Amino acid sequence: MTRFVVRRLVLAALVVLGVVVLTFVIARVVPGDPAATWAGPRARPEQIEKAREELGLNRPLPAQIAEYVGGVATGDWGVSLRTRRPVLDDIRRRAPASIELVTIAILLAVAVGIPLGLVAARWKGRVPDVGSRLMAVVGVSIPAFWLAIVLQLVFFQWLHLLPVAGTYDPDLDYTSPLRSVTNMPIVDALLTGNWVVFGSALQHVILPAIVIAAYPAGVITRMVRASVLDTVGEDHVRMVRALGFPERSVFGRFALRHAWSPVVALLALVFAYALVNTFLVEAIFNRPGLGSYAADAIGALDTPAILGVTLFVAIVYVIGNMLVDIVQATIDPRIRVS
Amino acid sequence: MTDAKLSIHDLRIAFGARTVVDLERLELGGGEILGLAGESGSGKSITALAVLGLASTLGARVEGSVRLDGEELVGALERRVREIRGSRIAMIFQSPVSSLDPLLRVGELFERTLRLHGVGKRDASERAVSAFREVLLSPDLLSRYPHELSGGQAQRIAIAMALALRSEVLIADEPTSALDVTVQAEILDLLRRVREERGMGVLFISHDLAVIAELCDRVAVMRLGRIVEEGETARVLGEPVDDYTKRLVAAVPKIGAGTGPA
Amino acid sequence: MARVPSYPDVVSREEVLAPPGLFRSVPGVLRRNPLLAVGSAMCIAIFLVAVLAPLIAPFPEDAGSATHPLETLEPPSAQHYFGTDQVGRDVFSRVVYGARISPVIAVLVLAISVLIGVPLGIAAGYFGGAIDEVIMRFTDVFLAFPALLLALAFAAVMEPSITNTIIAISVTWWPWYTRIVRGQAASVTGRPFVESARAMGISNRRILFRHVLPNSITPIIVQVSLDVGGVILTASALSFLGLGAQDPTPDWGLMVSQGQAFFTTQWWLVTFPGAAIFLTAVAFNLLGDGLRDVLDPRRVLTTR
Repeated sequence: MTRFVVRRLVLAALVVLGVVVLTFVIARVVPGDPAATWAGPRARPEQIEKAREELGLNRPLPAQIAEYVGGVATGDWGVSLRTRRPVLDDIRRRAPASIELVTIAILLAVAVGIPLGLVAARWKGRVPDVGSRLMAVVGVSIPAFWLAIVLQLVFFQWLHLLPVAGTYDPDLDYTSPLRSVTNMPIVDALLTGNWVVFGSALQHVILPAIVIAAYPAGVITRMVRASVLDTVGEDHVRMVRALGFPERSVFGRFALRHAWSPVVALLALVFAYALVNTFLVEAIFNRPGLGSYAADAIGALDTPAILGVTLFVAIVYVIGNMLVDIVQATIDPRIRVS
Repeated sequence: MTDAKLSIHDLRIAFGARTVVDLERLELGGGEILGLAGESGSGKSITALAVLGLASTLGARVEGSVRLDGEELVGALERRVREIRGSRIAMIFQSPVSSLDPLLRVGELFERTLRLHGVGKRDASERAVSAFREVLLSPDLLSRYPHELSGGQAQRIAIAMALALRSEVLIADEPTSALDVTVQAEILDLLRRVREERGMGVLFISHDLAVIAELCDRVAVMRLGRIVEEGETARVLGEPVDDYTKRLVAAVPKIGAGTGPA
Repeated sequence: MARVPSYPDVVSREEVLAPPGLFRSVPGVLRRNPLLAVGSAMCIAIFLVAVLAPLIAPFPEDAGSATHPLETLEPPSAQHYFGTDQVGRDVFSRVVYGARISPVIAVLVLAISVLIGVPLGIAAGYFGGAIDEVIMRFTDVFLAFPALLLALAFAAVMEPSITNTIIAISVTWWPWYTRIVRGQAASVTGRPFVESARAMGISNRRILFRHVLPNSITPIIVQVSLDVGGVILTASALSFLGLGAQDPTPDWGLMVSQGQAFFTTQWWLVTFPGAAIFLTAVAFNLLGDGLRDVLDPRRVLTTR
């Protein structure tokens, strides 16, 4: 098992290296002169030259790449043109809230997707199947930014049921201020026993979580359905039936274990995609996090920040895939052998 | 046979408009090993599944009569059939390792099955251990995963399941076809013992006449869904009456018998 | 519930790879695959809307740079089915003309992706060895990014425009095709008849065009049909963020972004363009799913 883990680690490291290099390449595609942008609109030629030297743009390409990679490895991800702070610091501060949101959304997606997929497989060809598949298609086809606004319209504007935006009721900052531990609002509220904020935060996270959960739920439903249908033709299912288990156990207890594997396989993918979706959604819900930071950066043409966030999410994705491989090997004992 | 353990009469199995099995009569007595011989596609396996009421999972329609100790199973309540399935009538298959859920340890599947059929928790563990000993396997194997077992071990475990549930009838669908010849002999031996010590009736399905000759008391030959000949093994295989049976017997290669069919 | 078991135990590669007689009985195929039928119908409808836009839209000039300062932000009515936007343009007309944009972007993106990705994949699978390694490692780095993220990064460093959107998404999308085609090419190449062909001195080009390429077409078709919906969503996300089409182009994503500020009171600005994106994505996703069910029921050929 250790050899398996080590192999995955090495592979992941190599891919991350490639990712960093590609990010550097994207950075160089920037039209115009990065030195001029850095120096500011009213810079004099000498200042631009100085900026060029500072940014190392005069050095040969391999040296620049090496310097960039070295910088990334040591935590120097550039400085945001907008906030004037190191990008990595900005990310460090803003990411946790988004990670919390995405995690909640994925839990929701799994809780909805697996049962829907099992139902679809059990009643293949009949109404529950068609219904589930339709819902799955809707889930993967709905534009996140549109769903966000529509939900706000329906649940806030028209039904007055849920709050429109924010992480929690802003008045609470005065009456029951939240102490930051992990920078994740709900987790922090839980850890510090701040139940008022906890409740408010839960209320505020419902709509954003639903929006972000839509795509993963659709993907998971289809995957579970396909996987269970594949499994059902197999010998061991025939045996389980022959042992006297009812169909609901075949598609329930037994199928569930088999359904986890493909879902786990998808987790890294849906996590990363969901994280990218926060770029579209957080600003709409006025939630400070990695997503709104990225959206702001895009709006302000803050290239270092944009690339920093890109690098961050890509690395999360690579690590996520590696972890998923390892977890899968744990669930399915056969994988360790290969 | 008036008091047959398992009696099948006028069994018709069809896929859509195509009838694949039209069985007039097949009876298995308690403590008897009945062979069901025939080539691939003769309908042996689907007949076995129909006995357990599982033919519909493949989309087949079943008509006729299948009685266990006189109780009619075709058309009976699904709940009743499920009680019998696995416990009173057990079935083992051709690929023993792939027949076990790869994500469960053997012991887990065992326990779940016993609990399903109403065996209490402590009782279940005891039965599992003693069933393993009966099939000459170490109970240590209960903590293994299926892919860690050999074909022979997995097949013994399947038989042990039937023993633990006190099955009265065991349907074995090509149980040794995927195993080495030496392992095959051990399994056949086991089946014989199981019949001796438990009085279990065994329906042994196989395309291999040599194995049937060795193991079965009686044999029924199936062709295109019908039984063409039936009777004591020695008689059917030694002096076949039906043309098809004759051809089947003639096609069996005999070791050390010179050239050409015997 | 009588149904003959539909899959034989052993499906030969030929059966899987050869496009089935799809065009021999289209009505039959559609009847057995309701999703495909619905998806196809929707796609045809969208195509018709796009082509007949000038006839369908009551105010075609509103899809361009016309403005009507006296009719801003009017709710849906008999005259303006979807209301008017913040500069008085008829939203319905703009949505109709928008049907010309998204699908065209998708077609161009996928055409470019196929043109880049397929030859690379075939080269990797056929020649193997170092060429394979280099191409696939290069591809892996691109595939290490979630699609939207990479497209965003590229689009963010370029001037916002439809052309650059197409370029940005194409750069993100081609690696998938390389990966799929490489698998196919490698397996076809491994077959004995290709070895003998090579031994007989038949040129690589001949083998590639007559054997490797035709056998790779089915997975490409399936993948393309599955991808259209995804590209449309990606493109609309980019234009929502301001990285794609610019005013006055009636791009749906752009329209949603412009209408966002008014959504509490003028809900129609956001709802209709967004619904258009949604329905178009549903249409192409149903089409893609349906095609996959017909051409590749055992999911042997696709990676997503």
